[in-house]
Amino acid sequence: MSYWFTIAALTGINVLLAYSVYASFMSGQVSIGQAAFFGVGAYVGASLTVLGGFDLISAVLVAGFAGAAASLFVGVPTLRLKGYHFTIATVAFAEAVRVILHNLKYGRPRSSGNVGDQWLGPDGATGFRHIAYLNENGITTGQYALIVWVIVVIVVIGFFLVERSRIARILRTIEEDEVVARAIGIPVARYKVAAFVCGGFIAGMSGALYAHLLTFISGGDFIIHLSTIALAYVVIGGGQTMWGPLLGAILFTVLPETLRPIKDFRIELFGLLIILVMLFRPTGMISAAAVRRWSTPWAPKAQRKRPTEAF
Amino acid sequence: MPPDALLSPTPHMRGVDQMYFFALDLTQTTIDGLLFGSTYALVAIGFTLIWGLLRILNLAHGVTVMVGMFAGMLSASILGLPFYVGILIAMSSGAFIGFLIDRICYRPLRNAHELVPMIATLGFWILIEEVFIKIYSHFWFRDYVPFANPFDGIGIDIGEIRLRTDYLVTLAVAALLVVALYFLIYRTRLGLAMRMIAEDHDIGNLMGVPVGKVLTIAFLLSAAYGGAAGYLLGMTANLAGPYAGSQAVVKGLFSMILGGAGSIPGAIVGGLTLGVLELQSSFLFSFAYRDAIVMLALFIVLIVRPQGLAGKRMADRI
Repeated sequence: MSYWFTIAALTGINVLLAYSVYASFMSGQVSIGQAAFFGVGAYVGASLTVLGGFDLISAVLVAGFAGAAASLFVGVPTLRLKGYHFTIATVAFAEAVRVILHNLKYGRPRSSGNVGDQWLGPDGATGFRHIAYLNENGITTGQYALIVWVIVVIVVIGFFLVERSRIARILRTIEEDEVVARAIGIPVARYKVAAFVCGGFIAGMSGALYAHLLTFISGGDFIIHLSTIALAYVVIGGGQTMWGPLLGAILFTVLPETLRPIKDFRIELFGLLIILVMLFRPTGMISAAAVRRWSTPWAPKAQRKRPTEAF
Repeated sequence: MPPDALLSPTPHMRGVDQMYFFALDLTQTTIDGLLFGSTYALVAIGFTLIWGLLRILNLAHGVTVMVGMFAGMLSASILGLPFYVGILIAMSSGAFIGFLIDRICYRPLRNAHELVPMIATLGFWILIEEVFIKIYSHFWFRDYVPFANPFDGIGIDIGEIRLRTDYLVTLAVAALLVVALYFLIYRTRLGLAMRMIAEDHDIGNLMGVPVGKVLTIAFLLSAAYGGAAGYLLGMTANLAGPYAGSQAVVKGLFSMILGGAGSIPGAIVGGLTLGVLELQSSFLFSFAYRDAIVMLALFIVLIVRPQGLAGKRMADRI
């Protein structure tokens, strides 16, 4: 049972990661660097509980702010540029952060524990071990999964409210055409930075939750694969509405785990599923049209048109 | 290199010697970086061809590098074929992967949003790399296998600077491939079609350019260059490993961006600069932080000069 609770917690963490991509995706900005904010959040959150004596919730919140600060650092100079420069800058920044995390060493020796394994805090390439907050405070995996999902639900409700507000329309306008958006008086750069920083905040929280679940993190966890997979959750689930990232992250975390008989091949399966979903549903699994159809079942059936231009 | 105490009898002289040896090491590192950077330039050319024509980041490009490296390893270490045959085998097996990328990830999705083929190439990358690692670990139990290097340990000495022969061969092959590419793009009808497509797909179609065919050829070319880069990377390192593809993706991507996305001179400048930056930062600062220093340099270049070092078009600011 504890295994499934771990999967549940991991799913929640991945949903948060997917939403952190989605926040700036709404304004048409594609980030392939969420691993950086995730990693910063993981290291900050773990340091706070292990070395600083913080409790879990405040550590997660502070980690969120650390992620937001890091994304502000990337976002302010690069989001003023049009096109793909932002995407590329996020990749570069994420690689730099990964290498820095890989070499970090601070902390203090451990007073108890086995010999030869006595360092609290990140220890260079060996990584950050003994993040034992859950164990020390008697939090079971089930309770932890519950904590993670409470945060997920809060974030989802936040997105639900934003999706129905003026802000979402402004972001979608920026996605559609930045020049038009500026012409009608929208401060484009400010909105893009704000959306990206919200994404950084969510990624930071998600990273801190991840660190406490795994109890061991190292720079090698935050490679470019993680960032691209976070983006893949959104594109596969569907980037047109807020339901896409939720479905994409849940499906692509749970599905490979449930297919136990072929568990040796689950990474291959993951790659294959990405290709198949892209081939047969290029708009992602949930498109805006589908959501409209389901939410207003009494509306007359519109003529089905084959979507050519996705997003 | 510590200065020889016998050569420098006084502290003052020792300082001069230190300066001399430091300058010598600096020159040596720069030259090695330039020579080695030519492999990065080859990887970046593969990226930049697809980016320039399609505005797609081909994340599966690393697969071609990895396949080229292993085809080269098999031909050089196991079959014992000479260098030039090995390069051709590496290029053609890379081109085969390019064909698959075109048929699976790009062609069925050509009308979709640009992100869709990019995510499909991500899936292709994960799938092929994992399958490959499974096959690899079935045969070998190490992270790396030796790659026979016919030029190992040979070098040309010019004064006190040593030029490694395998680096020189790498540079020569890269230069040959670049010249061939230039000839193709600026002197043939195929190149004309490519330049047309880079401007506008629809107009190309209207003018009777067989866009699909030209793009297939572009994928083959890009992947063949990736395969050649894989062979050269494996040969200069004397090793072939299944994770080399992922490293090459990152390096190639950064070379492309450093020089300017979508431009071939940009890819060359970016690759050479990356080679020099990497070796210099591990020589001057520290090996552990080498990649971080390089990435921060790239980040600064992106902010100060978003079109890249050799790019022409200014990015639009809003």
